Amino acid sequence: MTAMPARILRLLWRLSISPVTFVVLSILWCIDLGIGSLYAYWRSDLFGTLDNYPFTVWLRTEGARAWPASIWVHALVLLTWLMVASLLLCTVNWFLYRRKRLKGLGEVLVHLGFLLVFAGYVVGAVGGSRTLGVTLPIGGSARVEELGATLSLRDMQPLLGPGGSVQGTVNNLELRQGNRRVASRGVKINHPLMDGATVVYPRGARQQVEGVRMIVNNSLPVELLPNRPVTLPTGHRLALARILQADETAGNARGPGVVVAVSAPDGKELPSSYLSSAEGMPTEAAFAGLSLQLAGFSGPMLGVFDVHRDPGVWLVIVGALLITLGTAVAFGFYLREGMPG
Amino acid sequence: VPQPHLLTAIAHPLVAALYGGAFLTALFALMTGQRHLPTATRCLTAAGLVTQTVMIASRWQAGDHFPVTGLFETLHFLAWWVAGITLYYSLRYRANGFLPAGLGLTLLAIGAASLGPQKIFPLIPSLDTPLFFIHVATSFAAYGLWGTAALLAIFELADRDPGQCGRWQRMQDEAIYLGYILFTWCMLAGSLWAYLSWGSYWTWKIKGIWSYILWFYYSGVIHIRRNPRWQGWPADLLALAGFTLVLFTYLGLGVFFKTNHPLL
Repeated sequence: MTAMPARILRLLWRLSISPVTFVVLSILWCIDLGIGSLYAYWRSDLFGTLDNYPFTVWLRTEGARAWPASIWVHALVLLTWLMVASLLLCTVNWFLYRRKRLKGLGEVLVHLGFLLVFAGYVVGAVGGSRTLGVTLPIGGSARVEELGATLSLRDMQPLLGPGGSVQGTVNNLELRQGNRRVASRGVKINHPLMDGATVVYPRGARQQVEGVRMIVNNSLPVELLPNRPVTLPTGHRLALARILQADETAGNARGPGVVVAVSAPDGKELPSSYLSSAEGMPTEAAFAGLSLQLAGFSGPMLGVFDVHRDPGVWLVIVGALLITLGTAVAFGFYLREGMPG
Repeated sequence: VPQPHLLTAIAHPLVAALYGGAFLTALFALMTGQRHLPTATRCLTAAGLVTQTVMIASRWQAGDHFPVTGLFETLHFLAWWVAGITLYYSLRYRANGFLPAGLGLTLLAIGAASLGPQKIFPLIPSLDTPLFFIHVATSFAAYGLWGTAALLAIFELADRDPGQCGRWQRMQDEAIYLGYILFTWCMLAGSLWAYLSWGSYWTWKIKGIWSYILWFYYSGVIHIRRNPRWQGWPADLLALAGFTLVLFTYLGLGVFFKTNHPLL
């Protein structure tokens, strides 16, 4: 009777360390992720925010809202844990029974690497944070609550690409914890500000709209500011009725843009018009004897930054190094084997 | 402003002609059984490789970055790997029967490269990192090797001589292993680049996801290729299915989906 449970345990052990188990799990993982990714592509309203949060935060908030459509993400979590368990037991098996054979060392290093990458991902998914779209004027500061730190922008210059086109910004940034400066440097794409597991990424720049510059009747430049209406030589009166910033919307109108209130020379109110630089939005408006063309906005430029903290990233980097080393070692052993018989 | 490159204008058709000549001699040797022709094929392939290497080096020097940006350069790089491994198989394993197939794939890649612009484009700031070049160069090398493995699988499936199976298998293993190592480096470089540029080494964007699927698929293939029960036709089918996955990840997603990895 006692032999039966032992036999079942042995069978379970063999099954869990078998490469076939890992392969079956990885096939299921690939199928689930493949179908899920195509579904997520078409339903960006449900899954478009996956990159905006640490994974566990997404699962608790957006994932819960998307249920049952998010079932493939939950299945993926389950399959990933099972694959990791299979890898872990396979590695334990090597250390227990096969460690004298150096031939499998490369594979074991790869397995250990994947385990570390997974551990790092879990640590980051549970203990990480992401603060998106921190906007700073030049010389301004903002508190990043998740880190208890203050981010300051000292200077911002355009980053020029081929042909002199503007392709981002170069920012002089500073990160402070209390009164202590923890990191400071010039930041641009591919060169973020880093302090341990905390990284600040530049996301370009946008203008804080405070007024609008227009060309009236194809010749007259006019600048409109809040509470400062302008009376034109034609007798028309223009006033800035509302401002939409780059990330704001009102009905079908998307920012950045302004609503201009227009009065005829006899004082009669004409329909107000919306002028915007957003794609697909109107840049011109025409009335009887009056045309308005958007020439630009007035207001300071703001740097936009994302602040990520991923406490598991060092485990991931060590894991990646082990995988690199392991693949090279495994291939070296393979080349030494010679032709199969 | 993209710059025209004079050497490319000469070298690209010359490379196509050399590989084309090699392909024809290999095909003729296969049909007639003439013993001296494979030597001519090898010489023409080697000349094509040298010309292609000079062209790649010259574009590197002119553009001041490793030439793996855009369809023309990436497919040339893929062709370089396929031609190289085909020549290696011919020299090491005397796999002369495989020469027409390997060179056919090379010519296909060179032909597809002709569809892309040959001018040298200046690098935009987001691509200006060594990680980008490692990422792209290793991925196209891996695609080429996995394509070669799929061709070898067809040869093994068609070969009625059981004595030759070990040789086909061995060549296929080498292509898959080397492809897997290079693709692993591609994924690691890409992940590190994504971490430094966009904040996460794992992304839920469709191209990234399918690249991970491809990586895990070949991880699985490597695990079971060692199993005697999976050797022979099951391993061949896995190599063919793997290359189908490669084509979907590279071409399918590039053509039918909006991705952050544009084809051109």
